[in-house]
Amino acid sequence: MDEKTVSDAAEPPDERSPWDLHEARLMAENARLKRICDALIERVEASNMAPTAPYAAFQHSVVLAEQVRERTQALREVNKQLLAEIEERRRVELRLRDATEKAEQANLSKTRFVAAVSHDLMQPLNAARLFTSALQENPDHNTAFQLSHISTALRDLESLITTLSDASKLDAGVVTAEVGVFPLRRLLDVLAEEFRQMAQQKGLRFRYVPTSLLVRSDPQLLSRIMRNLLSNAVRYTERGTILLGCRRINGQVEVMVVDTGIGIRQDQIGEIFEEFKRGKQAVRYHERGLGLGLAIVEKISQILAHPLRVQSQLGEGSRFSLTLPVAPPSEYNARVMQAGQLASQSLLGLRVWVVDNDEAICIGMRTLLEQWGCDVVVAESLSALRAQVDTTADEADVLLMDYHLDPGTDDGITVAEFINAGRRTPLPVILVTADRSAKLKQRCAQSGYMQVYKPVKPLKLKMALQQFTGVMQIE
Amino acid sequence: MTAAPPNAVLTAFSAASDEQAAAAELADKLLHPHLGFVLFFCSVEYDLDRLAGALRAHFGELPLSGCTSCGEITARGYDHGTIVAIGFDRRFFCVGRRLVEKLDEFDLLDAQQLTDSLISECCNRLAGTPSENNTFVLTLMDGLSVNEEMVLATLNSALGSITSFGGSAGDEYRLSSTYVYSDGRFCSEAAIVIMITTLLDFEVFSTHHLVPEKTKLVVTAADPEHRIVHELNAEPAAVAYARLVGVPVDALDDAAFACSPLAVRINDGYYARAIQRVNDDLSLSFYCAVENGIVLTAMSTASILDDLDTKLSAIEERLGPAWVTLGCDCCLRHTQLQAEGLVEDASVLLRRHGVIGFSTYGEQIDGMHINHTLTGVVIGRKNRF
Repeated sequence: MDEKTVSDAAEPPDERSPWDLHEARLMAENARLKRICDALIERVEASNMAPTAPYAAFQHSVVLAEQVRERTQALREVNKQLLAEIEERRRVELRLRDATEKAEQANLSKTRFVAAVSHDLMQPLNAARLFTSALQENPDHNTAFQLSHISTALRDLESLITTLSDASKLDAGVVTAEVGVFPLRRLLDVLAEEFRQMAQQKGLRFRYVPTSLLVRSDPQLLSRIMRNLLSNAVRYTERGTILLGCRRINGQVEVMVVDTGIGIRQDQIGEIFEEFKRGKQAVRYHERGLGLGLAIVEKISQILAHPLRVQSQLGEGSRFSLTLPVAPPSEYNARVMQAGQLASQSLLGLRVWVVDNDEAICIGMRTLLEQWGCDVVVAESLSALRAQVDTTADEADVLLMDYHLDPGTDDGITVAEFINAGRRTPLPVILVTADRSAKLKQRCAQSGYMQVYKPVKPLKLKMALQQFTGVMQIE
Repeated sequence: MTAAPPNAVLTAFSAASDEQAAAAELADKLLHPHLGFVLFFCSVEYDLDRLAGALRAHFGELPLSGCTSCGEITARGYDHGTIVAIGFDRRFFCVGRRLVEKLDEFDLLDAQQLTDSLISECCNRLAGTPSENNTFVLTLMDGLSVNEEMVLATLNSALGSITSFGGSAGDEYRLSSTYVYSDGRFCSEAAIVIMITTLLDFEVFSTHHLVPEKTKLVVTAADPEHRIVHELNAEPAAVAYARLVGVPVDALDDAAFACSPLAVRINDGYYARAIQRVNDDLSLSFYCAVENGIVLTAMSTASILDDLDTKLSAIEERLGPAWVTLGCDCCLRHTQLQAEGLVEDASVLLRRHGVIGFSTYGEQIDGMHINHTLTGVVIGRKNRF
């Protein structure tokens, strides 16, 4: 059926001219288009009205459904993002809470620590003060006895401060092992002798099983571990025996400290290595201890990579052991500098300039150095030194420089550099400092300065100065 | 729990022509101690009163809902002259249902009350408060009531974000009366609203295979009340449509309607308006709402099978293999497949995707009444918990 038949069916037959026929067809077409147009107009107008008719309701539903679909999609996206953000925040919060908890824990232990430290530091200080005032009031009475007590008190103080300093250095991660090969016996013999006496004073038996093996370790750090273990053993044992022994296992040597002391509860074995924590039993025992000993032991054993093991039975005793690598004799390069030999050497004629802002130390230094035969110039500051010598031209062999000078002035390194900058040949410098930081170490190394730590041990200072006489002699 | 036990959803069908025998067969396959609800679709070849009696006799007080169809989708695929049913285990599905009888009086207040009562019925018994995440609504409506659009739009407003879908009951192209079944009887001029809250994963979908052509027809005279289009492009509707199809008016039949659909474009989407029949006055009756002045776009048909397989496979990828896919399939799709000789191929696909359902006189989704689609829900094997 084509358009023509449709039109023919719609229109009455016409017998008029072709033009008329054509016109009639156009008219019909025009009428049809007008109808379509009207329908469209009606629809367009109706579409702006409320959907009360079925089709409008359908159209409304479609539009609604599409909007819902789009918005749902958008919401889903947003929701996904939000969930991701929430998850991220939750994780951050968890981390923060964790960090806060740790910080609080640390804070708490620091508080406990400060209290413990204050208490522990005050004791020897008080003792020293008491003896000092006794000396002042009655200088001639029993001087040697009182001096020995002051000395003991100061030694205690020093050991506490060293422990603190060790702990903080270990915390800061600045301690590194300087591993060498040495006979284990050399180190343990000394300790055994020392602790045998302490044990005997307490009425304890002390057994020492030595070894002839060579080990690869850092003697200083190892000594610190052994000291800590031995002093704990003595401290926490009331009766019985303390054993310091060695045995060889599979190319390694196990050094052990065994006691018949109070022991550690199984559930606390892990905790005893935490800082400022002592076993429940230990707390009763001991007044002067920071609870840092085993923490230090554990950290050092990690630095040395010497596995540390603990076995303990509550009320029966404890066994701490450290496993060290054994070294073959071929690696042992004995170069033993006897302390006695060194002490006998003279520093006669060594010209030393000392700058230290502490008058007492200046006086002490002068006395000590002059005893050794040195030629000493002592000053409390750079200007004081320049008042006595011409730092640019006068001859000297070594500059002994305090690092921390008066607040607000340059530090020792800066002063030393200033002095050397004005000289034709720079002076060797020994920096005296209590600052054990890696940063300062690095600065000294850069300038080629030696470091001697406070409190200054006379023997160490002498060894340091000895070098410069050596240099002098070689030249 | 990773999957529901085998009786979370049971399906059954009977090809027995005797109503008692058919009901007995269903009961035999479906009844178990945890059976909570049965949904069925039946051929109008059954004597509906006798069927209702038989169902009452075999299922007793058990909640049953269903409707008549223009053909069933059973475990065999496309089927005819049968009754097919899905049994829902009450341990996994919480089902509430309401019969709406005066469709032309159904207003927003009714819709709100209906929704509220269904939500409170399904609330807290199983999967928590009904929401779009655990609940869908199935609507079954008298397919010749011409009230679908208004009822659906109203109901959709009240349901809010809960997805609804469904189908219009059929009568094997007799176009005389279609029925929904509720509480032991078949009713016409009625709708059933079924709210299903479930622990299982599900996805409601609607898909079609139509592609727009260039030709447009403008409805220039229509009777919206009766879904009749008198004129297209100011010509008798049948004449204009027959010319579009390329056949004489008296050759227009269901196959022609199925293979040459018309659709309205709304925004970017095309929504088919299925033709029901040619009337004696050369007007066309539709299965869904029409209006004077709407522009109908001629549509061509792509492969029903490809579209179906792609759509259902994608969903099953997300949900896991379907326990059951409840499908409301436009009767004209079956007619098109018949014309193309693809009914058996389609049945294979329907079986593979576990589709159970019926041929409709119109599908419903989210308040829209549409045609030429397969609309339904896939109930997956993955458990949402």
